[in-house]
Amino acid sequence: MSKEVRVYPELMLCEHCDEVYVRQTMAQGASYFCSRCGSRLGKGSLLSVGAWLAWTITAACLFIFANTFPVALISFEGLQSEATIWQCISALAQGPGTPTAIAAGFVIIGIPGFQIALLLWLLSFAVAGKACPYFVAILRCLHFSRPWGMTEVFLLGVLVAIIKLSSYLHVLIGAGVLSVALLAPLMVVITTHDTDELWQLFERHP
Amino acid sequence: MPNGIRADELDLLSCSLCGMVCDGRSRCEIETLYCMRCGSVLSLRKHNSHARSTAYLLAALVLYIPANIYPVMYTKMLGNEAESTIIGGIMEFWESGSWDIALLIFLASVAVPCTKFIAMGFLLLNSTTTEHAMISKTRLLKFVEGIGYWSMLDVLVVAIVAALIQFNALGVAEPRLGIVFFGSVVVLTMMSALSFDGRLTWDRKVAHG
Repeated sequence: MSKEVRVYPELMLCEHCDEVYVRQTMAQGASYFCSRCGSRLGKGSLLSVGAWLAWTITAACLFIFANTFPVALISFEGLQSEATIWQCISALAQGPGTPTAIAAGFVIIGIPGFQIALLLWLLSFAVAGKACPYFVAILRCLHFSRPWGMTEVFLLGVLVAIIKLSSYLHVLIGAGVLSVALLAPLMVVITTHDTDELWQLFERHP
Repeated sequence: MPNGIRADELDLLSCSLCGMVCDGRSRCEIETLYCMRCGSVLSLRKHNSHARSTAYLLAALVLYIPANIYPVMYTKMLGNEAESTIIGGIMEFWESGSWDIALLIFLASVAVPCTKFIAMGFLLLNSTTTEHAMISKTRLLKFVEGIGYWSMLDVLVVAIVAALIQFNALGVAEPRLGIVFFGSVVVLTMMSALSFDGRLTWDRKVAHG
């Protein structure tokens, strides 16, 4: 028995029920649904690779702002303090909150930062029509890290935390929160974008 | 676009990473086959899907009990010491008049995990194979995957409150054991949904007609 498999680049399967479809170019923004199970088969890409890269660069800038500007300014009887996300997390990691700090650090800084860095590398090659070194490993990392980035939950979390504290203290929202508010929808756009185009590129220039 | 053929009728399978369609569906259980495009090992279904999904769900269900019994946060503000549980935190917001925040935390920490327990339990146990039930089940799985991570809200709120307070001398707030349990519940329910392979329910429909 041969270990070789034959490939059928012109076909695709519904990932929810295994129905066979002929792959076709999809109109921009149009969605196609499986006639058997009703799941979305694919969506015509709204962004070109260049636009995708541009949004990723925007996300990278916002990510840096979100981590360098304070998320909150606290004042109580003239005593003022402000803190960035990173300071918050590292302060929390010192005390008994270490496990919480590690988990929170991962989902709000680690994973999104990792995803942005990988996408920057991947797309800056793709925009020149090349597949980057470690292409498959990077797409695999993006695939598995996708459910674990939680920027939008973090945004809601900061707002709830500030409201909770404002009953005891005078709390002001910092510029960091504004950056997170802009970053959250952007992360959804860049991490959930269809990777089919990139795979086709990889196939042409492995 | 529809042509009404199932992959098993043509001996096809798709790569779980890059989506390339290859033949060798019947061979991939016996020998290790690799995707010609990306080199991933081809597998027909997620490995041990049903067993792993059930195990994660049961573990999450068990940990949800200490998550609700143990306090999630200790606060000492303006001389008042308090330890609050998840439900206690919601009640506090409710009594202070912020019903909207109370509702938000209730949704994220109670409604979402409980919905996931019920939905995943239903998906794992239910074996109806009518057309309508199959479509609903596929939709339910996608819904569960979509809402899952919002339960992380309470963990992040506790982390942020505890962290911000450290920069001010007047109060102390520390995370407590309960939040570790609750965080584990969220991660485990997410893993339960991620390891559940929706195609297995469709396989059963094929087998039962």
